[in-house]
Amino acid sequence: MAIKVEVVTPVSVVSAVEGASTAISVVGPTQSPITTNREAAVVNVVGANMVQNVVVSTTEPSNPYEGLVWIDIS
Amino acid sequence: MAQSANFIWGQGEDLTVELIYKEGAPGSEIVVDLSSGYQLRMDIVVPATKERVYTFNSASISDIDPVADGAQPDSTLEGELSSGVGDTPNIVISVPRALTLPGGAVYSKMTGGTPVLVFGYDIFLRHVSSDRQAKILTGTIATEESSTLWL
Repeated sequence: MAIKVEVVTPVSVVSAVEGASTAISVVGPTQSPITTNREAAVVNVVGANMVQNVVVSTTEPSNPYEGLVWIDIS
Repeated sequence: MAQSANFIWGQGEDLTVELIYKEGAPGSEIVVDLSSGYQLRMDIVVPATKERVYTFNSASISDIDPVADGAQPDSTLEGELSSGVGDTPNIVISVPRALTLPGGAVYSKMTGGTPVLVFGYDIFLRHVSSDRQAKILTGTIATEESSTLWL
């Protein structure tokens, strides 16, 4: 049995687990799109330096992202 | 291993942490009714020393710090557990602004000789009847100093 915690309160960094789809907030340059090295991310750009509503999802084996989720902003 | 999430907390703000706790087969987790039979505890600590700064709980605790001599009961309940019906948050933790304002436990750390602005935390959930508990979330809370300190 798996345990899953969805964080509703905006956070800066969150871990993603298998099948998870979690909204997170990150600060970065005003540029879109942001992509992860796994599944695609969806992003809205608001303001000069704020990127929010990044949705990270993965079908990788369980718990591939324990710890930080790295997001390339290029 | 527990999931992690890092929060940002503006000094002087009331912080509300809302979580949806689910269990089930991987990929098919469903919301768990936490309205009865469960208890929650979340401690904020200084990362370098693990010194406990504050405890958030959903039920009274007879001794929050068993390491120190004597009982230190805590009957202030900042955590609220609910049914989560309709995929609404079944865990809501209300973090009072007073903690980051003068006289607050977090304020004293933010303004101490070695100021601490980032705190560690983890959250445990206990199923009372089975006496089983699990760490469900861990991470940091980064405080942002404010100019306005409205008590």
